[in-house]
Amino acid sequence: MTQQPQLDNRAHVAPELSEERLASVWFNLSSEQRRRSQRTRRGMFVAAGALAAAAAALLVVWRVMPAAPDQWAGTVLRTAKTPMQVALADGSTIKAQPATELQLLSGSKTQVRFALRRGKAAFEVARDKKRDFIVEAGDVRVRVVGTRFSVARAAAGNGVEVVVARGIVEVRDGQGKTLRLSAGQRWSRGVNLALASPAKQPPSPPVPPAPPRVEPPDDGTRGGDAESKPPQRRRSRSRGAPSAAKLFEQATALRRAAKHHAAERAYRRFLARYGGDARAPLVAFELGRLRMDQLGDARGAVRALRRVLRSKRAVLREDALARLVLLYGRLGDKRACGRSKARYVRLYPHGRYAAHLADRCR
Amino acid sequence: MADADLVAQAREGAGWAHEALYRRHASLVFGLAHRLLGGREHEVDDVAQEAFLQAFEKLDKLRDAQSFAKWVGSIAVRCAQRRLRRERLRRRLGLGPAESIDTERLIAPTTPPDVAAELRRLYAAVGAMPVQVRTALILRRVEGMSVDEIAEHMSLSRSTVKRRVARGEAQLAKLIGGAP
Repeated sequence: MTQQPQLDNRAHVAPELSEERLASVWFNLSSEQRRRSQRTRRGMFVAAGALAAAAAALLVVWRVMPAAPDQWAGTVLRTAKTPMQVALADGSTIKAQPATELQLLSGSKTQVRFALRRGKAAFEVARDKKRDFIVEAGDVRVRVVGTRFSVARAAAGNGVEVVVARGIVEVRDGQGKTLRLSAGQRWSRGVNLALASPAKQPPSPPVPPAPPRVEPPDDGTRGGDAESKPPQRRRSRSRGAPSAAKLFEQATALRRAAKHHAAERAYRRFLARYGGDARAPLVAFELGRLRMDQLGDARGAVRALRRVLRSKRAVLREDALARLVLLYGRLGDKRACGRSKARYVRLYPHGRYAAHLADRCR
Repeated sequence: MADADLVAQAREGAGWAHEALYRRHASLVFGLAHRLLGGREHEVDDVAQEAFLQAFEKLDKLRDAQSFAKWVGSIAVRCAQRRLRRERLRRRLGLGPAESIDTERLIAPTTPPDVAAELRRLYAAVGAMPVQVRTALILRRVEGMSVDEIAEHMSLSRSTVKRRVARGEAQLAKLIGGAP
């Protein structure tokens, strides 16, 4: 008797769509969208970095208002309970603290202007003498050329605090008085601010790079790769090396063009140069996936994914841990496989991969 | 908010509407790409990304804004086919490894054994089929689409779809030595 094939088997062949995966693709998609629109709209400010892989998990809402003077004017960055870091196309980064609302008022080759509506945001601005980077907090205006600083606004009233970690900024208050602040100085108005920085302490860098972490692998693999080395800060950028955003884009483009080895090298370069960047865990994860799925390099994949586990960010951790279980199984390392599986079950008892991992490591 | 409203907002340039459309239809597009490509995550992600990118770029050409899902689905099918053809060409030129579908990972562990065996046989056979035949067969036997739906997704006539599906079924039967 002829067996009638069962139709609609979608549920049996369904992708595992984690929030991290969706966010990662959205991140690439929106970057690509902007890149393509940038090609056709010259001279436009592009907030290219957009959200990191964790964006959705961070309860962030981006809005791009229509009919704005330029494409991204009006874009609002809102954070809820978790801080968020955004990388701009020129290499500048913005770290918004929880409960912050920051709006891009205008952007051009000569001026970028943000308005801090509430909360606190730290800026690390790439040096560009031809462009003013301005942050407004109420009637206070902070102008900068290339530096690292933070601006905070009180929840109510007109309290504002500016802290400079590096470089020089110019602050103009509501009465039109202007003063220059250099590294280590702070300026504030309104004493009853519920702000994060203690008043009398020297300001800590608002966007601290992730501290270098070198942990010897405990799985018997050698940690000789770039992703196992301590992250170096942006030392090489001054020597003409591509920015973190550029390098990330390059690596993604190579991966998409199925140039797996070249993509792998680009991801490794990223981790070696920008290990403290917000995208580093995502890059390590992509590197692990690439090695595991395309290059058949299980040990290399283990090293990359272990780096994801070491990062402070919880995003991607579940996916990385599940993949580690599969990798150790593939390598025949039952102990490490069992350890990783036990850790997965402990951390994610009802996780997305729990069923898939149930019969592993035996 | 209906798809039509989101499409209208997205046409005005509202980024949040793009993201809302992406999130609403991600499982559909990722699912299609996943099943057509045989579950390779990177390729699936790339195809899904490309499908949404093309959809957003050509939003003005969408006549019925409410049918965004069907539209982006057919774009995803085209992107997946293009990807499969390109890979096949690369393999012919000796630039890529032979296609192997890891059915162990592809098919959910909760699938009933008879259905799992059927799907394993199908995915073991599709690698040797022409891309259009493979696509039509997967849309029929895994997606559960009707001939009309397949025709719409693949931009083919009904009769062509029927021929492709029949050819796929015959090839499948021949390859696995089972009943057609």
